[in-house]
Amino acid sequence: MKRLKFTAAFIASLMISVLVGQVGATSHEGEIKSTIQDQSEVAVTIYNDQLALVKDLRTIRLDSGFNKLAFREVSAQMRPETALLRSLDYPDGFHLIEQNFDFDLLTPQKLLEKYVGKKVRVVKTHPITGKESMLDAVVLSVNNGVVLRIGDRIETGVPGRIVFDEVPGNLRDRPTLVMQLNSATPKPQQLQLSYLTGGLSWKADYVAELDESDEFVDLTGWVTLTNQSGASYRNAKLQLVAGDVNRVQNGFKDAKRKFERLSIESEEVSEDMVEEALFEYHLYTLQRSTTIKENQTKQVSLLSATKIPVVKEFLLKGQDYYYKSSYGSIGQKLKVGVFVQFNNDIESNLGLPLPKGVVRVYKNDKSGNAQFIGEDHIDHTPKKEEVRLKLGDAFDVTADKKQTEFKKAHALGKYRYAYTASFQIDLKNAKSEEVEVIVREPIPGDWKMKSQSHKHEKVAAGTAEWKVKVPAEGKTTLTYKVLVRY
Amino acid sequence: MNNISFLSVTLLSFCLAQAVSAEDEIRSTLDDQQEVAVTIYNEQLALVKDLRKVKLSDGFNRLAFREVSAQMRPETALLRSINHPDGFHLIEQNFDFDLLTPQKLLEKYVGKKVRVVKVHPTTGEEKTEEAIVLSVNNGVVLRVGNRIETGYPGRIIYDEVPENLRDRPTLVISLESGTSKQQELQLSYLTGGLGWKADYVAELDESDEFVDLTGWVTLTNQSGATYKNAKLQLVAGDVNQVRQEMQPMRRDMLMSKSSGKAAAPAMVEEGLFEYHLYTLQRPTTISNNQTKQVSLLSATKIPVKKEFLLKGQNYYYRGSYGNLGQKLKVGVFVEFDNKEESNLGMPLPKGVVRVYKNDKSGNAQFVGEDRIDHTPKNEEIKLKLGDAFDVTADKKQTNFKKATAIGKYSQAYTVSFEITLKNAKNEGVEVVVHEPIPGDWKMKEESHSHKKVAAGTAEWKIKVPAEGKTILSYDVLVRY
Repeated sequence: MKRLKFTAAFIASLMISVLVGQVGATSHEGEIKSTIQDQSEVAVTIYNDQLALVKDLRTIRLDSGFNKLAFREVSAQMRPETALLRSLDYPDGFHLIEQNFDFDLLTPQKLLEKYVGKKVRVVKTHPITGKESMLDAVVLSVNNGVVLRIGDRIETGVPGRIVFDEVPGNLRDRPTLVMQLNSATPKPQQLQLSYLTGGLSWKADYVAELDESDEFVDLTGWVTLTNQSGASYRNAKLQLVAGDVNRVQNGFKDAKRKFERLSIESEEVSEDMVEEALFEYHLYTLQRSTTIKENQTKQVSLLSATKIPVVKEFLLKGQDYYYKSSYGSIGQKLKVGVFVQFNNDIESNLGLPLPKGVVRVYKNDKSGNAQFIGEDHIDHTPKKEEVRLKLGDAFDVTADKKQTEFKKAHALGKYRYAYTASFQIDLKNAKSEEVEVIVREPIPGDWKMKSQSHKHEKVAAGTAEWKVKVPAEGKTTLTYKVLVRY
Repeated sequence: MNNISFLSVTLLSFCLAQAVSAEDEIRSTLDDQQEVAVTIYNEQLALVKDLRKVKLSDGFNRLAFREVSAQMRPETALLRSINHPDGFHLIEQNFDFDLLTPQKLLEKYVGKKVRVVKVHPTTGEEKTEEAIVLSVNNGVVLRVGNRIETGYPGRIIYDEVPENLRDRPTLVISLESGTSKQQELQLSYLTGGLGWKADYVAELDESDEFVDLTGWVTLTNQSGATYKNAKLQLVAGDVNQVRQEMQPMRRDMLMSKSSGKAAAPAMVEEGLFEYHLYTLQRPTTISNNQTKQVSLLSATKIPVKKEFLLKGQNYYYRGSYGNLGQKLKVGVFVEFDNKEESNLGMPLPKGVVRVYKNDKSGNAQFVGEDRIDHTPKNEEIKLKLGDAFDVTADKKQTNFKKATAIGKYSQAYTVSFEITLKNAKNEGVEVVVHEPIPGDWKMKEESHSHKKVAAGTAEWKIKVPAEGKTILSYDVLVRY
């Protein structure tokens, strides 16, 4: 009996406390709040594809025993399933029970909804004296308008403005991670929260300066990082990982990008970022702490190298469907692409891992002003690789191309179809110096060159390549006849 | 309660710290600008080089470079000291693209202290209370004293503009300077919002034999900044760009022709890498939201050839058809060589050529326009002006027969056509008939002899007398 009474009393008190908690909407009060003011250190490791690892160290005083800790001002794009809280000073007895990521953000409407069935105050302003008077009310409903009980009346048009006592516990003004945990000590302790988040990313940007003769290039590399994670990281220890890290769910896919394999080498990493290998990737560490504010784009220097020998190339690319049926003129004034190419090795004054990014190339005009002449993407490029950049299309080097003959041939033995196709390519050069144009034709099927005005090279099974010299202000005609069989 | 006051104290100190750091920075505005050079590319891209005289302090500095293009690509920004490069070292740079607006200001004050002012309805007396902004998502939530308010009937007052909210697009740079003397700093960056194209005016003479050509550069600035007394350069050529930035917004723009008449060409051309660079010989001001025209080139007495062209379709060779059309339109083209012998011979950047011709009373009338791509010298230019009114064609398939496919061929047809070319003008014309013929073909019979200009193309040149007609008929064997 005594035991039963005790239990009943216990239950009653429990219910009361629950009710009190509800009525006053004071569930925030039981919480220990940790804001950015408690932060003693934050480390951010950023990956290429909208991913970052944040390690947020804060000094917090918890109660001994059960605690509800609201960890405020974390990234809004946190992946909550990756959050992990650790006590660095008192790991014994530190025990996490559960964690909730509250992303129901505080809005006037949400606030009203959370107050359905609860007590609010209605403030009326006297139109002449401006004196305010308050009435107690209970919110009955907020579907398509507010229904209030004020005293013994039910009112629908609110006769004033509604004032709330508290913000409900699960409505947050900032993204907040709420954890229930047991702590062994009431002393201040260092807690480290680590989590993965979206909204932070980095890329490399390179500035390449081409010399007058188009023979050498000076290269400077920058790291550009952007923060749209919804939080600021003050005095952060910044590290960057270059490499393609596998992830289960991709946050954002970059719409359309063209990747070309490139490689660059530079003499030494400048003092700003220090590079080391990490697993199968490269890790760059900024040697000083930095503040990464929300909605900010930040640049840090990465590397620089001078006098890298480059090769300039003119390339005319064909299409393989012109070998499959009869066509007329394939094009007048076809554009010839301009590429520069260099080696990412030590002999070329480079030889460094180059994280993927964009290389922008500049060249001085006659009066010495640097002008932009094109940009291209490079993928992650290890050393000893070749870097190839498409800068644009040449204005003064063009090509006219036509199919001059297309005939069916006898398909013998193993072949089902056979055609002979003849082409004429007029390469024209309006410059005052000679150029060499690479004509690269993808030829389908099993092919055999029957006749040609210039000698081709079979660079791959389906590719014929000619190197054709075009004199200054002149033209060169390349003709060839090819037998294509399937 | 205790908790709240603690929070507000720390917030206050945070605000103070912010205000101080914003004061710390050295601001550079357009007033410091010594020189600005703008190089504009064809595809909504420009390189801006902004030279300013700035006095930095020796050692660490925070420099706010104001009034830069709002469409700057911040990753391309590069600051250099021209006269004191030693000891000049960039630490980091931030492009603040959050422009100051009432909404942004409110957003930046979330969690911070503001003041709210209520006006007495009769006396007009103002009463100020302190409040904390809790949220600004779809409406403002304030904590005023011990109340949470959503529709607060007053106005909000802030103490300070947060440092990363700017009234103008601003690049903030942390750097080390080697000197406290005034130095020249050059900021270069790529920006969107600026583009140019060429517009040509071609005046045909009475006999359609010569044309006078005037080239204009039309440039538009929607970059959000004005470039005063800029050194203007244009690059003609297709420069590779990794991603296409912003989409240009349609806006009403001011048109301003920089020089009333097509005077001597104002732009000087030189080669730059594999492109062409044009430099305006005098500085010009490029205002925001402005379209500006500058004369580029002019040439007179360029010999042209007029051509009438009738183009066919290759599917008429694959099946049986009847009448293929009455009064088919014949296209009118003019053609000229971009050569020195033709009084031209210069790189022509891509753009639109508009052709005019004088009527009998000497008024210039528009006769057609066409687009040209970048055209180097020694190339031919062909412009489609329209379709001839007085020159038409009637075309029919007169025969379609299956033939025996022998040996390597699996299908064979003989197809016959008759094309009646009519001319209502009072002079004779020559019409080029251009027929794309599929497969492996052979002309069996024809009233005029053809020329095989490419594998799949037969061409005839047919003279049609004044107010008369000429009939072209031919038989062709097509095999697959």
